[in-house]
Amino acid sequence: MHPKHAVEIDYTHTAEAVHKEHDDRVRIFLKISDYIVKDASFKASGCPRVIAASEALCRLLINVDVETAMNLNEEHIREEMDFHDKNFECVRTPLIALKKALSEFAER
Amino acid sequence: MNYGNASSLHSFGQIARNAYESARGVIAKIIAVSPQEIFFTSGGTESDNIAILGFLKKNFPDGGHLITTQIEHPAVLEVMKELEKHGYDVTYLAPGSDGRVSPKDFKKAIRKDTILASIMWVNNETGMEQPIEEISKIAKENRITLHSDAVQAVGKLKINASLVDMLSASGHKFYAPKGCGFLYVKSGVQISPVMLGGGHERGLRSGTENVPGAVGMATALKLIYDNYSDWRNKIESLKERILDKIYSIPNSHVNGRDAVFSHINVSFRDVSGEALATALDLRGIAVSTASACSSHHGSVKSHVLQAMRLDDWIVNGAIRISLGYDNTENEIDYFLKVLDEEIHRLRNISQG
Repeated sequence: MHPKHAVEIDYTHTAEAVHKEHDDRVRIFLKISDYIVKDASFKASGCPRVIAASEALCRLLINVDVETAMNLNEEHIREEMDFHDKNFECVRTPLIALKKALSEFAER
Repeated sequence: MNYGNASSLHSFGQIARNAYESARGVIAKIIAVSPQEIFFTSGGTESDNIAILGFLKKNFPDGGHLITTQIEHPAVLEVMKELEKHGYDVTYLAPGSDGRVSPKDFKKAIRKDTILASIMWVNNETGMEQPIEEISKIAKENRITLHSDAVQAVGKLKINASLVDMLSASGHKFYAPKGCGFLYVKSGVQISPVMLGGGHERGLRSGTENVPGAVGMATALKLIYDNYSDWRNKIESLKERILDKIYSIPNSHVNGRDAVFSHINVSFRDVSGEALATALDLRGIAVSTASACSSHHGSVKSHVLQAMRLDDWIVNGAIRISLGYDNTENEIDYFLKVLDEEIHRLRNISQG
């Protein structure tokens, strides 16, 4: 509940995802240079798990290459959060925001 | 008190019986009814079930039309849903955006075959008192039996239970032990038991008497109503302080402005109720939220706030703050400081 990455950064890529049914909203900010995610941050409104999942995702993103970032999935986030109840959809929204932020690389 | 069984004839049992019956008398006096009209139960849920199912079983076992509200506690709503599967037709009255059902809507919903209405006295989430006096008048004019789930009213308001035909109450809502409650059934209203056994509580509610529960309820209610003005004034002034703070926070919305004095239901834009409740809990403050994610049910939203047709952010952001007579000015000082800090912090996380 005290995320370190809910901060403003000098970003190059950003995207937002909304889970309408849950009223969750997550924006991911990425600073990418030479195909490496140099920095990552987020802004999120939603339940504690959405905030925690966004924070976990940022921890996973920093200093990885773009391809690794694009291959991150729900299981990686759950592992990082040490939260393994698959019935909670809350971890999905930050991941959707990430995929959108990286969409220009996916098209290549 | 001794450990005698109140249904036993020996002297130990009779001491317990005397305490039990004396408790019945105290409770009856406080809600302005006769002791014979009070039946002890295990709480609000059981009282609601006995009232609705027992009344229908005795008088209208083959179906009919029932009226209730969309904002009832599940102890009534789930019973109604079950009855719909068994030949009963149920009208669920919607509240206005103020959280109150309208007596006019109640009157309009009445049909020739309407046999029973169940309208809560005070809503548990918003604290909004329902217009029971007007609804009671309309029900009487139309010869409809009226039940009220008064779990949030008994111990908070001075109520005249005889306005309704049946009334449910729960001990733990007014500082009695958990697991006890009572049902008021007006003299002349016939109901059948829904649970069979040794015939306790004049055959209506079998099961060995919960003497500590009954005595606890009577003692708690007596303490409350003997000092009613003092502690009501005290809680009202604490609530005023909280509301002043809430109104100073931008983009806040109080859900049910004229709520009973112990309740505040409020939402803060860009702050989920579940996140705020968790943040407050981590700092030693307990509030509740009716909308939260669930492992088995996805996103569970407050049926009460949804029925009030409030915006999504209000429904998802709502927390309920309940005040009790032992809350202090110092606790409110701490709460207001922490509330301000946590809303500020969560909004910083949410606003990009």
